[in-house]
Amino acid sequence: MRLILILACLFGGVHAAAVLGQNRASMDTYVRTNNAQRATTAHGAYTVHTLVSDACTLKEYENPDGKIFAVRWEGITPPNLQNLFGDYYTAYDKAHSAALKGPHPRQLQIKTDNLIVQHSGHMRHLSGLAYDPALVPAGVVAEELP
Amino acid sequence: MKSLTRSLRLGLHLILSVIVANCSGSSLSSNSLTCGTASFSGPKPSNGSAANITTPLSVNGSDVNVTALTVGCGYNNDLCVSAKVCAPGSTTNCVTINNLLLDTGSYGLRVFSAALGSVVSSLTQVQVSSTNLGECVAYADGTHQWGPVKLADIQIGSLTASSVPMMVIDPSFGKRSVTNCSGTMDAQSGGYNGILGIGVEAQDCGSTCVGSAANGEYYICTGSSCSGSTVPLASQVTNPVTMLSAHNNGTIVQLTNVSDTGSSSAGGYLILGIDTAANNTSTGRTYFSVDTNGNFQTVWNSTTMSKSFIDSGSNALFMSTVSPLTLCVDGSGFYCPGNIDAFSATMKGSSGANATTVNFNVSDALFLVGQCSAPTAFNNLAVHSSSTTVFDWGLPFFFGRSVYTGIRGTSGHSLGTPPYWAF
Repeated sequence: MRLILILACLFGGVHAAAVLGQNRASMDTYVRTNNAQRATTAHGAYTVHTLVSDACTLKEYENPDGKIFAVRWEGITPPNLQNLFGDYYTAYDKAHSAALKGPHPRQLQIKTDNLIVQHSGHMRHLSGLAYDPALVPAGVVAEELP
Repeated sequence: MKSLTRSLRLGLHLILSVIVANCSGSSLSSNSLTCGTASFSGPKPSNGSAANITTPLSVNGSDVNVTALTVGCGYNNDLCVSAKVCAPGSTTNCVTINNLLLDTGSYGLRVFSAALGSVVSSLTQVQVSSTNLGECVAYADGTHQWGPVKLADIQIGSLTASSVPMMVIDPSFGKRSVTNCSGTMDAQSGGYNGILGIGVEAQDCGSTCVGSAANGEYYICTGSSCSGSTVPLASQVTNPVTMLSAHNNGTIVQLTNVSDTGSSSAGGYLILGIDTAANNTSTGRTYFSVDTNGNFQTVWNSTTMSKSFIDSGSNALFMSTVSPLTLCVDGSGFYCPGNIDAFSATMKGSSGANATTVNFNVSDALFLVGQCSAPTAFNNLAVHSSSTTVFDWGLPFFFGRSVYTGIRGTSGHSLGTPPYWAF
């Protein structure tokens, strides 16, 4: 099962629906397609789904409407952002590419019209947070999500 | 001076927005504000520009374990070193690689294939299960590099590490068939020829890649068919310091201090080994233990940021915003407070021990960079991070200090068990 979890985090997204901004069913599809197990905890204003593997820990934050409003990752290898971001990816990729032109800060914060992404960390321990501000529940500060 | 400064800044904000991270191309040479000598119109910090710089080690550039460092060979706060790469066992089939980024935030040598010239074909391809090994290595700017793992003899200063697994950055390897390796920096656009990673770890992945084929970092490729692979520690890209013939338990980066407005001639030394010679003693230094992820604690704005680290490869300090810091208008993420503001944070070991206050300044990035016609060393550049757990002590921290990196698993340390940082 350990191996299956790893595969889910790293590769499974290729065949799965995107997560960020999608509804609860979309995330269920992601979990089912990847044969992944998740730990789920309620935090009042939102629910946290945690998928742990050797390579990374991926947390998905679900708002009361059943939409994944934020994702956080931490580990050796970031998850596949194209699959994780889904409809948000094209704008992210464009903004990211623009930010990379020439020397740039080593840690990058990328903003698009409806997505904020913070890359952080160092080799062997990379981390990141991505969220859609419009989907964040009232009273929740995305940067402080556990 | 104040009004001149203000109008210059306002007028140049848009122009400078493209060059904030690299001031080459600035056209400010005609005014009186010369890079490295200008004075600020705003209030000076109350606690000085470098209140707790440390006493430098007595080092001679000709010492066997010492290599010269420069700052700004490619861009602002780019810490640069040279190393010689040879075919394993050869002393003649070699190439000296200049403009390597010296990086305490990564582990192992990575060089763009083009910079290796003809020597690249003489390096020994590392194999796992009789299949060529490559890797997709990820960075904190959201980019990746891709290429094969090869063995090389690596000479740093006068010392040599033999048959070290290193990475050749080469997108043609395996035809880059791995899907999760996007946002690449395979082209030689980073302002350097490669990265010499000398941080606290001995390998770039460690036990996870020994035990898991789905590590997302290592792949074995036949033609354009690549699949995830386990990799023994001895075949992983390795911090070459650990394989030097001597002085192989850590490093010290010792840089000159720079003024509030930067220096175009900053530099210093990479000293190999800790407590292995008279020139690398740790006597009197403060020890900060590092956890399994390579992190320690920093208390910033009353928050304990437990995933903090010291990274010479970061061109600025990266931390969350506190008053009176404001962001530059160009969207670069740098802070532009309009003058020099003084701050302090408290470093602690990963266990919370040895709390030490570190004073530092943050100056106006657009103003500073706009005065310089060439890449410059600044001890007061900082970038906003929204992370509540990471304080990245980038190169500004190194100026005027001797920063020790004790590598995991090595011996001979007087300060304590590695991995650690000390200064």
